[in-house]
Parts: sequence; structure tokens; C-alpha cells
Amino acid sequence: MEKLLEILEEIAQGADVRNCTTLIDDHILDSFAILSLVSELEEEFDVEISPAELIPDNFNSAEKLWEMVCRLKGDN
Amino acid sequence: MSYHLLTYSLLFLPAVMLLYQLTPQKVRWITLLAADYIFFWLISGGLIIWMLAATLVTYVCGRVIAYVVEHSPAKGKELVKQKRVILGIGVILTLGMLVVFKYLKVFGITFIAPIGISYYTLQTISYMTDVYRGTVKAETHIGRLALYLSFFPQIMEGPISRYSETAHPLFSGKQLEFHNIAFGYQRILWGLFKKMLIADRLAPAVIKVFSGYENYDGSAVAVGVVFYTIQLYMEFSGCMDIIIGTGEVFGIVLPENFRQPFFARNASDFWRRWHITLGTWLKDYVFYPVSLAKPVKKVAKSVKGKFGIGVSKFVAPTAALFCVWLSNGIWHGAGWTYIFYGMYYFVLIFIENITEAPVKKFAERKNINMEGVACKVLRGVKLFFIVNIGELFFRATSVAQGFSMLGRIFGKFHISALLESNLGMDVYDVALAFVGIVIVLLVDILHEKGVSVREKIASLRLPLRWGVWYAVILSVIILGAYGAGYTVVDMIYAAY
Repeated sequence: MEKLLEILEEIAQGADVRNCTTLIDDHILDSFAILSLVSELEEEFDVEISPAELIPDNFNSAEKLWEMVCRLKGDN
Repeated sequence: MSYHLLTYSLLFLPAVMLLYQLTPQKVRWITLLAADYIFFWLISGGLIIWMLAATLVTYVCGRVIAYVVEHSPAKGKELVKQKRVILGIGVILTLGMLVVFKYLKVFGITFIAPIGISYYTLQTISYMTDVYRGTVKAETHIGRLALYLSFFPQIMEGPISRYSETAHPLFSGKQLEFHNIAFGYQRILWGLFKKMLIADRLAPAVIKVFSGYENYDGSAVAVGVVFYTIQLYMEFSGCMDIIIGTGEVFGIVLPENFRQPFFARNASDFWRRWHITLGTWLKDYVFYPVSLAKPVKKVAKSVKGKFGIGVSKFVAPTAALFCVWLSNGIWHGAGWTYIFYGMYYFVLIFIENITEAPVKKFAERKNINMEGVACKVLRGVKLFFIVNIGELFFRATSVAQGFSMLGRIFGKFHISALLESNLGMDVYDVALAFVGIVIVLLVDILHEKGVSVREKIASLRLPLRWGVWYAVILSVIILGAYGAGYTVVDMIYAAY
């Protein structure tokens, strides 16, 4: 989770990524930032994120992102 | 039949409301579906067969995907492959109909297209893809899917809604409520105000300039182009008000298609506020799939190895952005002007993306306040030029005409010649259009500040409240652009 927060902090600079639950709803992460995030997460956690996973529910908070990564790791 | 005609809001819609309310709740969806198909028939007649075929294909595709997921012995990648084949067949069939009706004219083969084919085809693709992705369950009731694809207010111009947004509310047969009817009709009225009072009043000048720009000074051509941008905004957003207002009457929340686009910070932001549902559709079904496609990722990885992450991070988004803007251009029609329009925004947004970080750093180093008045004014001027030049090419009959008009604006611009130009509008027209534009601008400013104008009006005391709405009703009836010298202007986006 700490590694994910580091990645998120680097991409969403200036945002309170630890507590924010509206990263998508408040446009903190735009589509380019989402793609950078996906590429970093895929590399760091060795998972494959498909377009179906790119829904606000999965990207609105660090916690939701972590849940998605754990789920995808379990699927592997 | 068209949304801006009084036969729609004063005859068709009340008749549907009455029948809907008289029908028992459980079968109200049948009344609504019958209204959808009658509306379609009134415009496109027997071409409704294509709409029915698209509905059937979409339904079968969803059901087969669901069947394969439940019963196929295949798992993992093999299952994904099977699902992908079914999705591919479904998309080829529905998209194929769109290609036949819309794009074969490139080869000299022309057909009259069923109304709204560009819009409902995108809805069929989004539904089938969502079933494939597992984000929505395959529909078991074909009536619910048919309603989602053919809801009569949406069929001509969108907004392009998602199955998860409107399918169930449409089917539920919710009781009509006074509040919804009042608010819905207020929004319809506001749409008519924009369309009849402003857009249709500007239409004669736009037609004159674009069809005979050689006869005008650059200043008049510039005015014609700005008028077209305003006409398009008032017309398209006005029609959206009528459409979303109709949805509101039935208690259906349709997605918004405009969010004060002229207050955008740049071209990317403009497209997050203009024709929003097309943008989000392209993002979900073109941008992300292309960005995450294996070949694109592979190229990005190899670029990363050679040039580092600073360059490689742009590979996937840029490839996807190119596909998005090519699709956007082609979706509007089979013409080079539309492809040029798409590529124009691709280049602008690409430049914005690669310069964003350096510009921010430069501003910080030089202590420039990017949120200061001067920067905001500069941003506004830049956006004004970007949007108007884009619309010039969008409306021009050819790319060559677009450049020729642009050359006239920048090469033969004499402000003194403007007053002598005959744009087909008298002082009365110009004054009325100006007042209308100022009113819309004020409402947009309030919306941008998060103020709900309709809620504000609703909170006024009764005489004042009715005074406001009577003023809008009377202005549409008395000052709307009809009568001698005007013709009813068809909805621009219904042609796409």
C-alpha cells in the first residue's frame, strides 16, 4: 500500500491522496494521469489492468486502487 | 416532427404524457416504447426496420456473451477470446449498418439514413462492450433494451446515454409528478428560447457568409464565423435542454451534454464541456482500449528503453488520442472537413499535453500568476480563436474553402467595411440576438458558479416567479425567429 501511495503522490502532485475519495469525481486524475498510474501499477505489482477496470469506483481513492490491485493479483 | 417545433412540445409530448399516465404502471414501458417507435416512424418511416434490426443484434449479442460466460468450459484467456469474437460480430453488424448508411456515399452510393443512427449505434456498442467487460448484466427483457436504444427525446441528437444510466428508470414506469412536469417544461422553454430567439435569428447571416464569403470583407467573414459558433452552441445546447427537459417530465435523468464550454481553460477542457457524452463515449470505448492495447504498450516499453519515461509516457496516450480524434471527425460525417476538424483538435490537445508541465515550471520560475486576470484574459482569447477556427472548418464545404475564408479574415480585414456588409440581419435582429446572448451568458456564469437558476426562480414569490416564466414564454412566441423572412431551421446535429 505504501508503494501505491508513493506512485499516486508522484502522479497526483499536491493532492491529499491518502484521504481523498474523489480522485476521479473531482478531476484530480485525468485520463492521462490514469494511464500513467495504470502503467506504473502494472509494472510495480505485475498485474494486467484491462479497460473494464477503468471505472471511477476503482480509481476514486488509494484504498479502492489497492483493493483492485489485490484482486487482480489474486486473479493471476 | 422535430423537438423545436411546437407540435412536439404542445401536441406530441402532452399526448404521450396523458397515455403514459392512463396506462397501469407495470405496462407503461409499452406506451413509452410505442411513442418511441411512432416518433421514429413519423421521421424515418419504414427505415425503422434498421433500428429494430440493431436492437435485435444488440440483444442477441448480450445474451450470447452471457450464455458463454455461464456455460462455456473455457476459462481465462480462452473465455476472453470467445467473448471477444461474439462482441466483434455484434459490433461489426451494428457498425456495419452505420457505415452503409453514412459512409458509402464516399463511393457514390447514397441511402437515406434512419434518423439518429449515429447516436443509437454508439449506444448499442457501449451496451455490448459493457456486457463483454462484465460491468453490466446482459438484458433478459428485450423491451427494456429497446426502450434504452430508442427513447424518443434522445433519438435525434443524443445525449448518448449508458445502459446503466437510463434503461431501468425508463422501464420502471414512474408516475408523472407535478414538480417534474413543471421543471421539465421550464427546461424545454429555455431550450426553445436559445433555439428560436438566438440560433435561428443568426442562421441567415451564417448561410450568407458561408455560401458567398468571396463577396464579403474579412471582418464580415469573421462575424459570420463567430455567429456560426454561437448558433451551433445555442442550437445544440438548446435542443439538449428540450431533450433533457422531456426526460425530466417522465422523471428520467438524462446525462448533460454541455457544461459552460466557453469558460474552459484550454482545448482539452473545452471538450470536457462540449458534447460531453460523445467525449466520454470515445474515452471509454476508444481512448482506454487503444492505450491499454498490447501492441501500444509494447511500443511504449521500447521507447522507454531508448528515450526514458519522460518520452515514453506520451506514447500510449498520443496513439489513443489520435484514434479518438480521427473517430470524432469521422463520426460527424464522410467529409475531409470533419477529418481535418478532428486532426486540428488532436494536434492542439497533443501540444497542450506536452507543453503543460514546462509552461507550469516556467511560470513558477518567473513568478507568473497563472490564475491572475491577465493570464485568464489571454487564455480566453486563445480559446476564442481555437474554437472559432475549428468551427470555421467544421462548417466549411471543403478544407480549401476553410483556408480561403481564414485567409480573407486575416488578409482582408477592414472593420469599416463591416457596417456596409449585408448579412441578412437588420438592427432589430442584431439587438434581439445580442440581448438573448447576454441573458444566456449570465445564466452560464451563474451555472459556472454552481447556482441553479431554476431553483432560484422557484424560490421567488409567486407573481415574480410567474413573471419570469411568462417573459420567457412571450419572448419565444413573439420574438422567436419565425414568420416572414424566416424559415424553420432544421436541427444541425440531427444530421450527424
